[in-house]
Amino acid sequence: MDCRHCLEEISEYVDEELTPWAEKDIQSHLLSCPECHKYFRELKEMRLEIIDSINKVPVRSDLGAMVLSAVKTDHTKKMQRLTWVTVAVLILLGSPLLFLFSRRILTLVRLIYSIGLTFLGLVQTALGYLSPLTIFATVTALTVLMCLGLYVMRGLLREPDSREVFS
Amino acid sequence: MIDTYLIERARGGDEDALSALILNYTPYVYRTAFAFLHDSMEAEDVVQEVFIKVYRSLPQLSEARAFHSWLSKIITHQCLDRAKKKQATPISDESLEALASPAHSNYDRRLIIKEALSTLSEEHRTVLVLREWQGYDYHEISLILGIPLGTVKSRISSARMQMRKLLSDQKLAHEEG
Ligand SMILES: [Zn+2]
Repeated sequence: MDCRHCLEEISEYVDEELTPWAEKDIQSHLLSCPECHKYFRELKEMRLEIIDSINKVPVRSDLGAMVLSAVKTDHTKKMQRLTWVTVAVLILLGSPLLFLFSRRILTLVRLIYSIGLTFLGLVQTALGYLSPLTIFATVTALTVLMCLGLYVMRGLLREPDSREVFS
Repeated sequence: MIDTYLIERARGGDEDALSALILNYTPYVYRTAFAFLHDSMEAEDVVQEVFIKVYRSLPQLSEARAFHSWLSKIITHQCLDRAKKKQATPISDESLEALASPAHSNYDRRLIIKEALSTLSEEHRTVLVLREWQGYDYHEISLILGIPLGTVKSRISSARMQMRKLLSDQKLAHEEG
């Protein structure tokens, strides 16, 4: 092996990325060539010096506290979202169960039902008097409100994306 | 190296353990980010982003022993993402001259290494930090950077040559000065 070839492979040799044969070749050259051996020692030393230099990079003393407060803020946001989701789930799942088991609530439901029925009756009579334009405007407004509600619910239910870490 | 017990507790949702873990690892994460980016403000931002990710996905960590390599991976990705977004700033002649001149009254080798690292091109610095500081092997580096193994080999080799040149210029300048 000549010096040019040796210098081409010496970096890989330092990193132990050479095949055993190539390694043997380079080892025998290093034993016989002080110049290349010097470069080899410099590369080994450079690694230690880089590690040492990074290890001694000064860190501001309040960085830990800053990070903790950033993580806590994130935690609070997450908990708020979780609370909303829990409330929504409880209302969605819990209410039918309550209605099934409580007679009083059943009475309440009947009341609400009859109120609703009366209201519908009123609407029916009102429809006779209202112009088609007013009816159209009301229906449109209701639809928009419904979409807005769905959008808000979607935002609340969305969990922070933690999987991106593994991408 | 931190004990796995603390990591285990933090993973189980223990807030005190999580705080201790964060405080313990903040210097390491900051120094790694600084090594990649050579900008203290950017590095501080990365530290916060990294720990928010750690906090969010710690429950998904399969075992406590894998924590260190898992954390390293998060830091690396975060830093490379940031470096990619950042506009590549060419090295001015001024900073090259500053490095070559014996500006430091007392010859501080550590400072010189640090400056030489920041003078390297981003490509060269990145592979050196991945290899020398984080200890990834060539195969891992090729996966992380999405480049062929042969490119990893030649890039590390030329990064070292460049580094050695910068250091010997500096040494020469010091001895003359
Ligand atoms: Zn030789």
